[in-house]
Amino acid sequence: MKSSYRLYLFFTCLSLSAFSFGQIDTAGIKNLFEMSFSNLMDQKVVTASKYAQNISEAASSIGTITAEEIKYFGYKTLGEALNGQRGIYLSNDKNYLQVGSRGFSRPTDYNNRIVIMIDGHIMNEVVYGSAFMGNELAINLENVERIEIIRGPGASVYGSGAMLNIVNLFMKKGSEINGLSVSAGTGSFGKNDLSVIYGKKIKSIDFSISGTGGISKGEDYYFRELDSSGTNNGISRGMDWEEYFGLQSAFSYNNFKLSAGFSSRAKGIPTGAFNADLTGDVKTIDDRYFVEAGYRKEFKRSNYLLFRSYYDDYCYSGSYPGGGLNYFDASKGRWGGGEIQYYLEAGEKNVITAGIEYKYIFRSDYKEWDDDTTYFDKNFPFSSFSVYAQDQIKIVRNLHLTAGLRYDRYSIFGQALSPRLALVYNYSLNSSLKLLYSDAFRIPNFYESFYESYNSHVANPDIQSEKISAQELVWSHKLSKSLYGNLSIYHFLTFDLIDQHLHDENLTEFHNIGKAIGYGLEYGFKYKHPDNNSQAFLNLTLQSTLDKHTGETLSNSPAFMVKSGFIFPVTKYFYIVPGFFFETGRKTLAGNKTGNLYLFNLGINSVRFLKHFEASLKVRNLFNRAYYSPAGYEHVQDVLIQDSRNIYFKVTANF
Amino acid sequence: MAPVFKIFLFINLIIFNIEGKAQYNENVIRAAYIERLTRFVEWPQITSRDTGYFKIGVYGDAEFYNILKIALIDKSIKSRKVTVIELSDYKEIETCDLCYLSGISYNDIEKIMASANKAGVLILSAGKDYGTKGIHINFYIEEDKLKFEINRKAVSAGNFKISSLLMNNSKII
Repeated sequence: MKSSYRLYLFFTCLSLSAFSFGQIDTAGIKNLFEMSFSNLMDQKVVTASKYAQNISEAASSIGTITAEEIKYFGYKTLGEALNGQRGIYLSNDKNYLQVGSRGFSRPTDYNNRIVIMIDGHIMNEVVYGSAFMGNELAINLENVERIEIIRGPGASVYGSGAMLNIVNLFMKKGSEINGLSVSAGTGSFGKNDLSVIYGKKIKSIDFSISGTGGISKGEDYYFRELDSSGTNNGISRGMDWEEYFGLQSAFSYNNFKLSAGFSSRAKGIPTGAFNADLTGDVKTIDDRYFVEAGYRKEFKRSNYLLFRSYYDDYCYSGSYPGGGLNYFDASKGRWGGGEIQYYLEAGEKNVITAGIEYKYIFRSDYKEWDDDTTYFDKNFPFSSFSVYAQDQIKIVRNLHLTAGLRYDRYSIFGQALSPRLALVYNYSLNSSLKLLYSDAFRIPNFYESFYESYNSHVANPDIQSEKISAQELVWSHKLSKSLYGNLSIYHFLTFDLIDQHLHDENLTEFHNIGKAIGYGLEYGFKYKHPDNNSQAFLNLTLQSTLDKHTGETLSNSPAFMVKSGFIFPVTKYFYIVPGFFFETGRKTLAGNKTGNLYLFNLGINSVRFLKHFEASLKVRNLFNRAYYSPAGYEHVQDVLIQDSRNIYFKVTANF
Repeated sequence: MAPVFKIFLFINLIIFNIEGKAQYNENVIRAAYIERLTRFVEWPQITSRDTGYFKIGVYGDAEFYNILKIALIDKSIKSRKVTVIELSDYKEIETCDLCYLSGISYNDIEKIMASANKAGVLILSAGKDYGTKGIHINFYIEEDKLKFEINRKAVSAGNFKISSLLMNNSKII
């Protein structure tokens, strides 16, 4: 690393600590004592404790992104918000945003080892198990109260797919929104978007609705690897367009809650993926909706039953014209299910959660065709039944043991048992030591099991679930009133990893071949000034993720990462919000390595003006540095260039 | 060093100092509230009480203890000089006139309140549903403002008398 970067890191740490250690903040207390009682009751407060309590008390390694951080850092997509977290990094294949975690990101896995939830509703679809991280999720992040990131395997609670992370988006309640908010934004590469939020609480009825939609022309590219007369001389112009629209709503009345969501995204593919042309109608469309109803029957404050039922739908279609032929593919997933959960605080020493869940996937299909021939068209419905239990046992006042077990049985993918153990020692109010152990699994998706294509790919119906076993030591500590630190040391082993290999000379097949071992160290600081709105985060990650057979580092796995962001009030009218990201290079599928990444972002946010309005300006990749991430198997290119400098301006009106 | 790093160093080192619009820390407002609330509460006569000092105990929140200690230096409540002590066990509440409890188990509240009511100790807290469970005065935040709820039944059980002015400005449960 260059010495200047070291110096930068040193001064960042120094500046954070210098203003935080050893302070007892009593700012303004004299004024408060002199106020009248009614004036005192009218004072606004800043709560700094929620974050620390969350991370120190939970029986997991947890990170949070607050609504305030979403607003000031100007996060537009879930992937962008997660990218600032320790251990997490992004790859953009110019169609879907892929999130890597703890050095693990298999090529083109569509995030199917991460579980995404909106208010506890799992958003991963059932055909590929994919989780949306970009505009395909089409969620208005301004309506998110907080994002929780639970690191490590979580199958003992959430079942298949919770291998690397569980990400839960908690939407704002109507009472928190309490009015109407409209945002309009415009930016580089023809980007224009509009977002609306409305929420209200009237007596016992809480209602909220939010929507977002946008269009973008995208960037133009030149791909050296595709530079021939048959592929438009490697020039991709006007192919990176995107259109998206999404709606989320929630309605609650006492203990009853109804929530629903819809998203639709169409995206041009500019990279020639799957041998498609660099001109013409190359695109994918992803539509997704769900509706969920839940009711909580309380027997006592410490004893209740939760009933939940849901219906989900996913629809994908792709168009890949190439070499004079029009290729298409499409998928549909439709599923519904129900869950009953029982929560019981039994005496003073046990908190028990137990439940059963049934899910029926009545449509999980894939079709592939061209102008003349249908190559594949099959539907494979299946079902799953799960039962789980967890007990949080208070051993002594500040020492808890959490033990959990979940059993999942699938009609066509076998069964799995996922245990979890956590020992949490809260040695002070906001500081804890945690020792965590958990197992998780992922059932093979439809594509990995049953897809076959004449002369190129064979199905493997005997494929088994892949598994992960992880251990972690977490030290969450409050360094001072305003500074929180979090250290994680982890180790994991994945086995029966599902990977593509050559079945014979010409045919590929998915098979349980892989075994990977990962270990690493993550250190995160979070700073929040108690009086003004200064905030900062600094996340450092040192990780090594190896192929167990060869001992070589996995592809798309950076060894060291620095993520930082700052919110500074300057004058009483503006905030400056700089961000700096560093990653070491990642190995590509061809065995090459991308260069180190140095990324600077800069934002300027206004305070509220003219009573109702706020404005923000964000420049991503401020110094327009070219950086790359490894490409997947579907690309001829070994690496794909990532976003160049782009500017985005937004105005919000609140009523 | 490249100009870009100089800019970042400047931002890190300088701008952290710039004061923004003051919003009060929750703990600071709570400290001011505690002094103010005592003006509207009449304590039961407890003969064994140390009448020299008005003793405030804080359990489970070292940070609030430090703030309260500084905030109430040289202050008097009920014509008695205030002393703030940090409790290591909530069984020690009986020696105090007022206690602020944090991080206590929901299941322990009943037991704590029984001994507090017996000893004439006013209990304050800031836990979700703690007011319903029996804490005398429980703080909560609504629309970014610190508010409080009073458990009328618990207050009566402790023989405290609370003025109607305070009752009118609180949520009664």
